[in-house]
Parts: sequence; structure tokens; C-alpha cells
Amino acid sequence: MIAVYRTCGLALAFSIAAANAIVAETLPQPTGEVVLTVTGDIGVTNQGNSAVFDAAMLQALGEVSFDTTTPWTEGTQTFTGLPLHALMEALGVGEGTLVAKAVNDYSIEIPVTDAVEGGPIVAYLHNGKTMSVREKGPLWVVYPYDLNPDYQAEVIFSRSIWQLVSIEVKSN
Amino acid sequence: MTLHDKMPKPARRRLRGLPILVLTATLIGILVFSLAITFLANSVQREVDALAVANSDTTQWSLVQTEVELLALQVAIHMSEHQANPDLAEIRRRYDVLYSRIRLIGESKQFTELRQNPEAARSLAVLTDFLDQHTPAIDGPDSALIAHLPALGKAVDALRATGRDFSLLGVRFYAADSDAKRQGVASTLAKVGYLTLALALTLLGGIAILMVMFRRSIRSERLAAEARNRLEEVIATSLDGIIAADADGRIIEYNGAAERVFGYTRAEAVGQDMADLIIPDHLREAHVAGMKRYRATRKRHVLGKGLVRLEARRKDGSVFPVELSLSAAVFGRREIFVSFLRDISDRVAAEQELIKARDQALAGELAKAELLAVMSHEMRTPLNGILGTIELLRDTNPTPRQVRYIAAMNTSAALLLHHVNGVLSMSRAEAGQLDLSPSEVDPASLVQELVESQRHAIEAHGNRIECDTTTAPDRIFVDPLRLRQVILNLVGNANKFTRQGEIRVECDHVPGTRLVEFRVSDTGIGIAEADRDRIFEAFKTLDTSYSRRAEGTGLGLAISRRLVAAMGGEIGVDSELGEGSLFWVRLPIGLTEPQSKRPPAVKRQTLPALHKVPKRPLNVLLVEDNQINRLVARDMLAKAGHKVLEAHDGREGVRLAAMQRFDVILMDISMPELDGVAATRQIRDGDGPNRAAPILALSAHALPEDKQRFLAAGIDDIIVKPLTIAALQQALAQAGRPQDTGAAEGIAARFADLCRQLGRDKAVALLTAFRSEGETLMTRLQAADWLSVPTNEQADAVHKLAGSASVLGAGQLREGLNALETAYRQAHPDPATPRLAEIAAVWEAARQEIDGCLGTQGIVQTNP
Repeated sequence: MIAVYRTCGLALAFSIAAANAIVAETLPQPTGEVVLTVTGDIGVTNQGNSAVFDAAMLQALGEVSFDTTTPWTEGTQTFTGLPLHALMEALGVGEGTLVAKAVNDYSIEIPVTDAVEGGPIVAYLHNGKTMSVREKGPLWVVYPYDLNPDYQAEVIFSRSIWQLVSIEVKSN
Repeated sequence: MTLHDKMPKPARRRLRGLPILVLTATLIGILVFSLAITFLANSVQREVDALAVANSDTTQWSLVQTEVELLALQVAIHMSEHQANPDLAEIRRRYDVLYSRIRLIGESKQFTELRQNPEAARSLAVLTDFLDQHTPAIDGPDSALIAHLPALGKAVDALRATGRDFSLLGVRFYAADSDAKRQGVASTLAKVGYLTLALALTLLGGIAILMVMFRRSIRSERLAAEARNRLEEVIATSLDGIIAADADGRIIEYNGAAERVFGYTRAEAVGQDMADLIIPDHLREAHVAGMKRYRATRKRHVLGKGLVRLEARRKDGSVFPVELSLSAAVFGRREIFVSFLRDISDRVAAEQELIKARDQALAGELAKAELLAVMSHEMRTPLNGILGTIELLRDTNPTPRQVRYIAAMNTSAALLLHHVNGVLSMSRAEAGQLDLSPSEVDPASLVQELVESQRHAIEAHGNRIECDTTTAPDRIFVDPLRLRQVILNLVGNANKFTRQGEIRVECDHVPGTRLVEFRVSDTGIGIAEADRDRIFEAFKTLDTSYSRRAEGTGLGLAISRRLVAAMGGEIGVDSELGEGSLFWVRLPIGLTEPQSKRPPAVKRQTLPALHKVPKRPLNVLLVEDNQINRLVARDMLAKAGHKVLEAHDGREGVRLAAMQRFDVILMDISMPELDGVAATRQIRDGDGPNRAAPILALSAHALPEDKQRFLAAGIDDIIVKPLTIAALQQALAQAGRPQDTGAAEGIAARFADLCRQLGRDKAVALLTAFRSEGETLMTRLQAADWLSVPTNEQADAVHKLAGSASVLGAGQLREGLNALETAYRQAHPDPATPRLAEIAAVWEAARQEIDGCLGTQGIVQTNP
């Protein structure tokens, strides 16, 4: 536990430094339809206490792509999206828990510690195409299950929220 | 060092072989089990993972969510029924969510198994149909959707039961599936469990074996340690120095005894070269060479040869004798030499001491024996003189009183001689010089004769004597003189120690053996048990009472014992103090077969009468250095009518013998300068007139080896001193028989011999030279002036011709010339003169004979 705290402490120190760097940048206002609303303990906002994003803004924040299988699809899929850690950096979030919510009222907590390089992304393209709500879109938190065996776990599967619409950041 | 060797071999093999096999098997078992367990564990892992994925809560949640989302759509539709401006966005969103859910169930691999369930497939088909029917309306314009809402509401209502069934079916299906999967996992886990158990057992087995091996190795280590300790204890406490060296001769082990022996401490010795340390300089080269040779050839000299005596050097440089045992042992590739060394200085010193003591003792014994022999001899010579003189004295018409004195003197002198002879034969026997001349003897008559000869003396002593020989063997093979000596001694002893008693002499064949037993018993004083062994020892007379009652040197029994032992027999005594004694002698009969009775051995010829005049008087040369003995012998000879010429020593004897011929020469043996043997040899080897004359030795020695020596020198017979008239007469009778002289041989016969031996020419030359020589001498002899001046030159010339005459067989001439030579040498020209005519006559005869021989060769003598 002490080790965990220490790690958390370190992470906090880094995140504060990162937040300071990002604070200068301000989020632009969305021009298209808002696809994601982030509320809670965030360092950067663009609409009241919230940070709202249209698809273009998300795309502008970062884009990575990987191939993996998932329990919910047949065959290998290609997912493209914004790395969760990039989103957290953009919002100046270094710690805490993300409470993610979906259109279908599904809700799950994702610890900010999950947001790492090579970790989950907020996918907006599935096999190169945007996703409709009927296709679990428009946003889907996907982990690279095949690249990291640690992600072949029930907890991770439960965090793989689709039809994502909002995130509430809770600091511990 | 030989610990490993101490363990019994089979045990070692067991320790090496079996457990290793078992251990290998165990290890293989462990490996197999481990692989199996790993494989199963992987499989469990996979199954557990699969279970985790397949049976995830989200799967069931998704199914239930279908119903929830259907309800959400139903609520959204019903909420909008009575509103003028229905919330179409909400309806569309709920529809899309439901749509997404149904698509998920229809496509996701999570639901592959479920989809294969017919009931589920039917429900899924109903749901899919619903989507197919209503999606166009949803996707259509708002007006169309509003118009379609009632139908949609009904359809959704109708679908609720299906949704409900579907989620319940999911619950049932996944419960069963999960059970099956759990059972699979449980079974695999059970397998893992069994395998783990087996692995654990195998491991336990392995541990048990390791424990056994461990304990065995502990035990063998303990045994080895014990053996090592024991060995070290042995080495440390060994009285022998123990030094072990490697192949280069460097000391690697050195014990406490070695420290004491050599003076080096262990620390000083170990690592040093053995050669430098303890091998003395004079042996080092040999040692180094030996080591080199052994290394090169493996041939062992000292190695393994048991105890060897060598010398070693101490730290202080002193060299001392050691006893060494060296062995080589091989440990692996290393060879070591182990030496056991013992300081034997003390022993060697003791040995030398013993040798010295023995040498001294032997020298003492020898000196004693020599002293006795010399003393006896020296005493016998005057004794012989006394005895001889007494005998002569008897013939001088003594008065009766003088006769008694003479008899007393004779008895005393004879007794003294007896004692001296006893001591002498004792010392001879002591020196192992006993000589036996065994012959066939009739023991019965020997005993009877002996008893008869002693009867008078015994009865004079007041005793009676009996003899029983009824069971005696007929014949035995012994030295009769020695046997008689022994029995006589026993009878004499019996008589000495018995008063008014009886003495018995018996002879038996010991039944069942090849032994004859002689017994002499008496009823005398007896011998105490404690003394029975002592009486057989030399110079032992028993207590004072014994010596008071009996005189003696104490040698009788000791000599008897030695004689009996020399004859291969035994002597012993049984006795009761005060009741008498029984001495017995057992001898081997000595004859393999019982002999038939033979006429008794020829008795010695009756000795000639004392004054019997010989057939013819003999011309005797008496060679004797002792004046008294010479006087005695001369008088005895003269009395017997012989003519005696005396020589005072050997040299004179030889000289006289060269001058004239004697019928017999009596030669004393012990004389200073030239003894009798050497003198005889000179006479025999010379060409004098007596080279063939009988020579009789006069000697106190009558030992066989002496006899051999005498005979070899040319002595014809031996008269053992003391000289008696009887013995002298007998010897002379033998010697005085008419002899063949050289003349009997004749010149002709001799000439024939010479012709054969030398060849005719040489023989003729010899004879011719002799004739010429003889003529010349005869001419000279007849010249009056030459005759009147006798010189040694004349004697020599006569002697020379006599020699030639002897060689050429002119015996008579030789005798004549010898007499003439004697006359010249004695400076008596007158007595010689009448002989000249005789010699001339003899020469004439000889010359004619020579001419006869030569004449056949046509050689004519021309001038005188």
C-alpha cells in the first residue's frame, strides 16, 4: 500500500507538472456535435465546469491505432482513437477515477492509472469507419487486449465501455 | 591413507551402484511429474481463463440488459403516446441502444454457444425480425415515425415476453454451462492434485533415498574416521619408526617413534629428502641408484623383501644399525613408500656380546680340553717310564720284600695311568672325538666273560655277583671294547657302593624293539633322587659320604653316558636310597636280521712269554727322545736278545737309518723338532737302506685319525704306550719276519722294469753308468791311503752308490754299502775295513749280473 501511495505521489507530482504545462492551452469550443462531455475535477474546461468535445477535437488531441480481437466481435478488429492518457493530459488530470457513462445507461469506473502509453484508447474509428450508436459508437473505450495479456481480464472487459458519452473525473 | 580400502568392497559397490540407480529413477520421475503438472496447470490456467471470459458477468448482464433496454424503449414510446410533441430523439436513442444490444448478441463470439441453443435462436430470430420491421420507420422522417409509434408500441409490448424469456434462458444456459466448465476445471484440478501428490511422494522417496545415502556416507565417514584414528594411533604409538615417502623420496609421514629414533622432529622431517636426512653417506649412492632403478624398471630389491638389516643416520650424525621393512603402496596415480625402521643398536650390541661370550666360552672349553689332553699326555710319558722301569725291576732278582714294594708301585702307577687315561678319554669324548669300531658281538658271552673276570675282585669286597643272559639276543653290532668299558664301569661302581650284597648283571632283548638292554643292579647304598641326574655329569662325585667310601675321578659315569650316546643308546638309573641301584643301558641291536650263531670271535692270540727268545735276534733302531723311556725300551729289547742302536731324536734317527739297514725301527711319535711322523716320512722318501724297513710307532696317541696319519707317513704299526714286553714282543714278531729285500728283486728284473718304464736306451745308460761308478768306487776303496783317511766325502760317495744300488735292485750291494757308510760316518775305519772284502765280493757278483744284462746288448766292459 505504501508503495502504491508512493507511486501515486510520484504520479501526482508529474501530473501537476503536466497540468501546469497544459493549463496555458485552452480547449477550443466544439464546432460539431458534442460527442463527449467531461466533468468533475479537471484542470481544463471549455464550457462551464465541463470540457466538451466534438469528434474533430478528439481527433486533434491524438490518434493511435491497433489491431486486436475482442469478446464482442468476430475476428481481428482495427481500432483507431485518442489514447486515454492523452485525453487525461489534455484535461490536466493526473489521478483519480473516471466514472464513464454510456448512452445505454451503462456506467463504470476507470482508474486514471489505466491511462498509460500503450493502454486504452477512446476509439472513434472501428475498422476505419466511424461508429453509429447501433455499432457501439460513436465512442468506445478499447484496450489493446491482444497486445497485453493483462488486459485479457474481466475487470478490463467491464471497463471497455461503448456508446461512451460522458466522463466524470473524481479525484481521490 | 587406506581408508577407502578399509571398507568392505561389496558395501562400497552397494553404496555406489544401487542408490544412484534409484536416485536417477526418482529424478526422472520428478521430471515427468513436474512436466505433467506444468502441462495440466497450463490447461487449468486456460480453462480458468476461458471460464472467466465465457462466464463473465457482462455476458449475462448483456442478456438481461436486452430486456431492460426493451423496457426503456417501451417506456419512451408510452411516455410519448399522449404528448403532442413526442420525444422522438429519446425513442430513436432507445431503439438504437436496443438495436446495438441485439446485434451484439447476434454477432459477438461471447454468445456463440448460446446462439446454438434452438430456443435462444428462436428468440433471437423474433428480436431480429422486430428490428427488421421497425428500423425503416425509426430511420424515416419524424412524421412517419409518429404515425408508426402505436404499431411500434404494440410490437414492443408483444416483444416483452420474448425479452423476458431470453434473459431467463440466458440465466439457465449459463448456469448449466458454468457448472460443466467448473466440473471440467475441478477434474483437471483433481488430476493436478493427484499428480502433485505423486510428485510429493516421489520427492519424499527421493528424500528418503538421499537420507539413506546421507546416513550411509555419515556412517562410512565415521568408520573411515575411526579407522584413520586407529591407524594414526597405531602409527603414533608404534615402537618402530614409520616413515612414508613419495616417489621422489620426500618424506610425507613421520611418526613419534621415528622422532625418537632419528632425533628429527616431525616438522623438521616432513618434506625433506629421505636420502639427505637419514641415509648415511656410504649408503646414499646405493639408495639413490636403487630409487632410480625402481622408478625406471619397477624391479624391487629391498622393497617387499621383509626385514632387511641396514644402517641409518641420526640427526647428530651417528650411524646405527636398523632393521628395515619397506613396502610400496599406490594411491590413485601416486606411489608412496612406507618404511618401518627399528633401531637395533641394542640388539646388535647384545648379539656381539653374546658372540664374544660364546667365543670366550668356546676358547675356554678348547683351552681346557687342550690342557687336559696335554697334561694327560705329559703325565703319561713319565708314567710309562715308571711302569716300564718297574717291569724291568722285577727281573733284577729282587728280594721278596722288594717284590712286594714293586707290586705296590706297579698298582699305584697303573691306577694313576688309569685315571689319566680316563681324563684323556673324557676330554676326547667332550671334544666329540669318540671313535667306535663296531663289530658283531655275542652279548651273552661278553657279559659272562666280564662277570668272570670281575668275580674275584667282587668277592674280595665281600659281595656276590650273578649274571643272567638267558633272554639276551644272539648277536649285536657294537664296539665291544666300548661296551665292555661301560659295563665294567657300572659293575665297578656297584661293587664300590655295596657291602655284603649282591650284584646282578643281566642282558635282555627289549620286547617289541630292536634294542638290547644291559642292567647292572646292586643292593648297595642307593642314590637319592636329586642326585640321579648329576651322577652322569663330568667331574661329579656325590656327597662326602660317597667320596669317603669310594675313590674315583668321578668320570666313569660321565664317560659311560657319552659312550652310550655315541653308540646311539641311552643310559639311566633307578634307585632307592638304602636299598640299591639299577643302572640300565639300552643300545640298538644294530643288525637288521637275527644272525645265526657263529663261532665266537677269535680271541686275541696268547701273548708270547715274557722271556721267550726270538727265533732270530733283530737289529733294532730305537728312536726316542725321552731318556727313561729309551732306557726301558732298550733294556726290554736287549733282554729279549735283540741288538739295539739308539737315536736321541728324530734327526739322529733319520741319519742312522740312512747308514745301515735295520730289521725294525721303533719310532717315538712325540719328539721335538723332527717328530716320529716326519722322520718316518724322510726315511721312506729317501733312498737309504731302511726305506722299506718296518717302522713301528711308539705312541700314547691311539686315536683313529692319528693312526691314519701315521700309516700315511709309512708307519707299519703302532705300539700304544705304556710299552710292555708283551706288546713289544708281539710287534717285533710281526715285524721280524723274513722280508723280501731289494736283492731278491735282482738286477735283471729291475733292469727289465726300467726298460719298460724308461725305454731300453735309458735303462742301458743308467746301468752302464752304475757299473762305471761302482768300478771307480771299488778301485778307490781298495787304495790303502784313501781307506786310512775316512772322510765325509768317502761316506757320501759310498752313500751315492748305495742309492744307485737301491734303485737298480742290487740289494746285497746296497746293504753292504750302507754298513760301510755307517762305519765311515761313525769314524770307525777299522771295523769297516774287513767289510771291504765282502763288498768287493758282492760288487763282483753284481757286476757280473750287470754284465749279463748289458751283455745281451753286446756291450763289453773294457777297463777297470
